[in-house]
Amino acid sequence: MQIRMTRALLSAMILIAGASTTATAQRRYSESLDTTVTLDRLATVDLSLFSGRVTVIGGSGTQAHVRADASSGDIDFDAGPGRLRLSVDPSRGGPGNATFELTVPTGTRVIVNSLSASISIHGVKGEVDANSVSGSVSVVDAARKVKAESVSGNVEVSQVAGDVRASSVSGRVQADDVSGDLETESVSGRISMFGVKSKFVRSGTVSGRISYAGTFEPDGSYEFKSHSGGVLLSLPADVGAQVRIETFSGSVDSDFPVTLQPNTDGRGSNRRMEFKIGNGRARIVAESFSGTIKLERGDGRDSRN
Amino acid sequence: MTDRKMMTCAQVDAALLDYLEETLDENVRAQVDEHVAGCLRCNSLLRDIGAIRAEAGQLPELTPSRDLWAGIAARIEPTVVPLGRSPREVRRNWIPAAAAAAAALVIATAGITYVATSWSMRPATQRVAVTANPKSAPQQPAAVAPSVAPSGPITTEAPSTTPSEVATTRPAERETAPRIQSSRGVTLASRSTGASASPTEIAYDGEISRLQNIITDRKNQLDPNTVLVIEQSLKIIDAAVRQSRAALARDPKSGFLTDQLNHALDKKVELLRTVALLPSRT
Repeated sequence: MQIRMTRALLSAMILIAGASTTATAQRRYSESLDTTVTLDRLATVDLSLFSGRVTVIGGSGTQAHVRADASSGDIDFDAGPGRLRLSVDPSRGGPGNATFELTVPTGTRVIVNSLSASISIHGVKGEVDANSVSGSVSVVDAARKVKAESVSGNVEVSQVAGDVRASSVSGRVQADDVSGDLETESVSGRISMFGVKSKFVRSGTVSGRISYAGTFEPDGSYEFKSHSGGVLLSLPADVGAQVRIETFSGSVDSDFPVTLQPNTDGRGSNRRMEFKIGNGRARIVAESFSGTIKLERGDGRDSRN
Repeated sequence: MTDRKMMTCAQVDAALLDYLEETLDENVRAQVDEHVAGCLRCNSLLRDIGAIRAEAGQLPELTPSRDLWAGIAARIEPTVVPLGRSPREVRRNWIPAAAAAAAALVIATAGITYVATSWSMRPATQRVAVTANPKSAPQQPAAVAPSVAPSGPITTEAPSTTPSEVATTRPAERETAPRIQSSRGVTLASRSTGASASPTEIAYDGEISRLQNIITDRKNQLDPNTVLVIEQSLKIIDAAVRQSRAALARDPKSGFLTDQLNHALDKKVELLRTVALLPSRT
């Protein structure tokens, strides 16, 4: 069943890709491009390049203004009402270095794939999928769903009315003012989340430090896990949550009057504590194998210290 | 993203289904591989397909999620002693769940690895089955295969060993520690002496081994700085895996430590998957 479903999905994707290819004419520009096209509401803008810089800004109206300069490689431009595609083909010389500057109608879905280019997407108020291997990724004022990933670059996402997944392997990950489900991940990069108003937050790292300041909604689920990095949670005074903290060799520092109970029933070696604050409706889990877990009283907005 | 001698994106689209089903002629398959290696658009499409297959593999009716089990296990643990159940009985409770977790991992990651394997495979590449015998495996330097990581606290500082040192399996260590050896001489994080592998760990190890083989093949296609970052990150993860395993050896029934170990292994699989699907630098 799974195979059939996957095949159906693949067929659909390929058909869609084929349809979009036939419906629009692909044009190639050698060095630069400066043009304006009209896009449908909720159209998709798909950008790919190897290195350089990508800037996408949301604007009013239905027109997208596209400026592209390639210092090496050819620019491929392919636009129709529902989709605008821009890329640099490095096959004819050079590493595909380019600068893309676009203004797109708000609500546009933006997809960017890059090797080392820095990516900046501001004010599109639509879905964003931005990936860079070594470049930084910045997404501000998006909606519905945001995925921002880098291997070694920093990732910053803020002002998103929708779900966010932000991750970097070694870069810093910052997610501020998010109101949908929030997932943040790193291996060694520091993870910071401020002004968050989500019902579901999951954050995981290996050696990075996790900082969270935001609301803890009733029936919400909040999970923070690090192996050797610390976990810092700023809890508003009116928070109502069932809290579980667990560590193996790390320490716990709490502004709340709780006692860390050794998990010693003859077998256990880690230490765990569970306690309830207020009505206890939200669920908070903070774990670190060897890092410090700190719970501080805050206003849920800022703990950047 | 086309070239006179290469397939076009549209041609790759047309061949993609057969490519994924592995029913393409070898020559055509090689042409697709060549195009995908240099085309961000098609590379991204394959990544998306891989993600869809992975998500399809995580359908809830197939297996319980491991996170769910970790929560259940943590709650079961304190009630074990008062009920007077023997450790052996308690241990049995883990087996079906661990097997389910292992199955979930295989299902969830098989699509990614399948795509990555197909993507990276070249006619000239010869693969052999995973073996536990280091002597029978060709000892090639691995691209991203830390065999030694510092003990004690994990830091984010640059490793004292060079990438080449990191990537090479050391004979002395092979003689003294039980290890899992992949077909390319890639050594995974060592398991504590005397500790037996759980079904989950076996599943992880198999997946990690397959992915590391792919990365070994792709090392020269990736940016050296990126490779260095990956190597350092894998060292950090491997140290976490070792520390979790060592703690778990002392407290084998700890749900927390099992969760910590699985979390680290998850990170490793996720990182290797990412690397396996990274676009080439050229």
